Amino acid sequence: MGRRCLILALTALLLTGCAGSPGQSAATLAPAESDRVVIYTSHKEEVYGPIVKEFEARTGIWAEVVTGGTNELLARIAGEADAPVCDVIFGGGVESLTAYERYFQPYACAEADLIRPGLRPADDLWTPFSSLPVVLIYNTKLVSPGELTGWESLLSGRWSGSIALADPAVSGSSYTAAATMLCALPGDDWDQLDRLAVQLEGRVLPDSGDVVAAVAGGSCRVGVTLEETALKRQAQGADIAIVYPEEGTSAVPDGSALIAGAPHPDNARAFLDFAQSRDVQELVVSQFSRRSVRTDVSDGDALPPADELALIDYPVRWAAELKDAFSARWPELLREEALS
Amino acid sequence: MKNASFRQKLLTSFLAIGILPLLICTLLMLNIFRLSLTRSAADAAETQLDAMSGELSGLLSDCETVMEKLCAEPAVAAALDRSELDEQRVYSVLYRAAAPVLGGASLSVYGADGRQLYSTSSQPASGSLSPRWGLLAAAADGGVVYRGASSKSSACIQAACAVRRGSVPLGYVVADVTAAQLTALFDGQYTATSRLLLLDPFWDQVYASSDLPAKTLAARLRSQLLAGQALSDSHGAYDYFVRQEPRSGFCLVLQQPKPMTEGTAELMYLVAGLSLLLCLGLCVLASMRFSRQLFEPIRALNSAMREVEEGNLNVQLDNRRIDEMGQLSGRFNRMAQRLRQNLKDSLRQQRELNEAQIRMMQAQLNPHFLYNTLDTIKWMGKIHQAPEIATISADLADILRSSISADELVPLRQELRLVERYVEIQNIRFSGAFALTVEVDEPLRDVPVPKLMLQPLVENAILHGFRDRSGGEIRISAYRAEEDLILTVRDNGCGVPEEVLAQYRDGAPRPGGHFGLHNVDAILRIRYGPDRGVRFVPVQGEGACIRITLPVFRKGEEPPC
Repeated sequence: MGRRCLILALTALLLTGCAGSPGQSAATLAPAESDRVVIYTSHKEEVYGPIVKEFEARTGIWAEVVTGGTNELLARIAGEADAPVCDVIFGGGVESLTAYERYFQPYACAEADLIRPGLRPADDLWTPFSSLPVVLIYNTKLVSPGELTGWESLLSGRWSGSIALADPAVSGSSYTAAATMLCALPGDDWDQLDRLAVQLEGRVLPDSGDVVAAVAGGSCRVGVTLEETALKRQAQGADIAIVYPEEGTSAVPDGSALIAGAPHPDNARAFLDFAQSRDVQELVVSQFSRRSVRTDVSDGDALPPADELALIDYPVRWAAELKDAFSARWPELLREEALS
Repeated sequence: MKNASFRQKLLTSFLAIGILPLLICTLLMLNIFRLSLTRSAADAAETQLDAMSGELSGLLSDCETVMEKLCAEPAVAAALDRSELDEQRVYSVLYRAAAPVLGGASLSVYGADGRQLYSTSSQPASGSLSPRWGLLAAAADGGVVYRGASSKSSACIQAACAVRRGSVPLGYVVADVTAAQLTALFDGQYTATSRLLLLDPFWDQVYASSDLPAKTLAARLRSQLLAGQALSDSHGAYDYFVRQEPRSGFCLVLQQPKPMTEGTAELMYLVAGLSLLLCLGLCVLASMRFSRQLFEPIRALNSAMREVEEGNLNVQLDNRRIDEMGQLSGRFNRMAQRLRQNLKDSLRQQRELNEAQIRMMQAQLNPHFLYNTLDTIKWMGKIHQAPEIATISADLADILRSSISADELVPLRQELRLVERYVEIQNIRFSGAFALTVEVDEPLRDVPVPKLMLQPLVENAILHGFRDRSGGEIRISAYRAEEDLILTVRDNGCGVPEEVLAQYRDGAPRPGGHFGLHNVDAILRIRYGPDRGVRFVPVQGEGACIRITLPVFRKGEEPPC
């Protein structure tokens, strides 16, 4: 037996032992475990890229970035709950984050006092990153200014079959928009949703990115989207205009959260601090067409000030809890409309 | 293995001897070959990396020198705080200072607000940099800092240091190294088949040689570094070598095709495999041949032995070989021959013994009738006053009783009495005076001897020794010599003819006139061995002396029959 083992070992040595490993010197360049942070992000590369890069340069911490859709990443975090891999989830609407808040641990950022009122959660389970008002848009060639004023005018029947809305059952931002509409309009929620489905004539767009394209391209006259998306396309020269609904709108932040049991908690906190730091928040305003969550960072000059937006107090928890019932009911409403 | 046949063992041994060394040798050679190729490729790559790292260090070091010089230049500070508004003067200072590095980098002066004010670059001004972000923010903390340039800039590497008055930054001196300048810097420093990547300290791509495809490779390498895996690409066709430039912390990654491609390796393994197969075939052939050569005679021997076992002693092996197997067959043949001879001998002996027994049984024919008749004759002799008849009848009856008894061995005493009876009869027959003298010690008279052994000897003396005489003396003596009983029968007759003596001297007498003598001799030889038998002892004077030697057995001991 011993001899057989020896022969096996010898063979293994012959087959593998002599092979040089060309990557050896690279291993010495790999950062120590204490210099790493794992970030799951649903932001686009143009958003997380500069922030992560600057974070690395300033702190010397290597960031491992995993990208994906918000719900996909949150499901992954839930799956890894026993042995967390991720330190920070960066990005994602706070309703989505709220639905998974049992996988987070509270952290109040170093400058949490400077967060605008209403954006900081009481339990600090997530930290806001940017404020994203829901807006209505219209095609400036097809619609005159003043024709579209708010949610009620959207459901007035004037835009039947010509409203661009991403499927709220799929798109997080579109769900926020729908929930905002429900909050802003009086009356029974399901009736309002039924009205919306009627006006949509059962048609929704598969992705939130398609809304602006549909309106700018003229296939829909009006649309519901986030201010950030609209501003970006507007800057690129699309023929769209933004309407802040007169009944009021929400400015639900997207946020970040520290994962419970994170392998690199200190580095994760450093990143959360950094994401809320003044430098990054200024970048959010100047580069990403978003609104900052900090009181000491003013929004872009071209944007109407936040206090003129008639912001409603968006009930995040209510919206998060409604989501299941909504996901069950909404496709039925759509189907009925599509059939009729 | 224990149960494997000889042939299988031979095959296994041949395989072990033939294949194992070759296999080990082949694997070693292949690995050594691969190792040496890999090592020389690695050495070449390391050398190239050393050279390129040196070039980069040199360039960055020159840039640092120039930038520090510019930071200390009063004209630059004056230009930044707007006290010096003569652009040409500022440019002349800038160009003069930057002269040593202008081929490899362009130098610019940025205001404290991040706007570019002066630049040696011929390209249009790249606008502004944020003083609160990235390069300038880092430079504000002091010293020369290096960054990979943002995608908006045409540069690849940017270095910056702050121009200060007191602790307040007045502006920044920035050095830009573009992709074209890096290409020129590294041109010819690495082999044409290699590719070069320049990564920032956090392994984001800063520069890639023009023939490298998309940025995905850098991302892949980075994730491999973080996962602690060896660097490789999706096809595994390249080796990667890394060198960190100490000044900036940037990493040069050289992508070099593997010295042994998959195809070459496969070909080599194929050749090795084929030669192993060839060797395997040869081993099988050779072992079959050898085993047949060895096994064939063994099989023949085996079957011949089985025939012998079954009783056929006429087997002969074909024996043309002269090697060990030939010797073995020869020995077998001789052994079979010897067995055959022995069998023949023992058959002959058996036949002789049977014949003697038949004769004896014929002689025993109806002895009781003879005995009773003799008894009648004895009584008739007594009745008719013929004592000699009575004596002869009584003696003959005694002799007859002895001779028909079933015992083969009788005490010497009985034999002696029988001889006495016989001599008595002969004395009456021949009216002679044959004197019988017995010189046997009392203890020896109990020694068992073959029945009717002495009588023929005495008869021989009377019939032949005293043929022409009417009297004579016969002397029987016995003595013991160690385990042997030696009996001699001596007469003073006319002696034994020379031809009879010669027969008994040779040890194999033929039955002739001395029939009784011959029988005794035969019985002794059969019973006690060929060297026992009747011997004639030379005598002084006339007469003959016959000696027989018997082993002494006490009563109850079995003779070795």
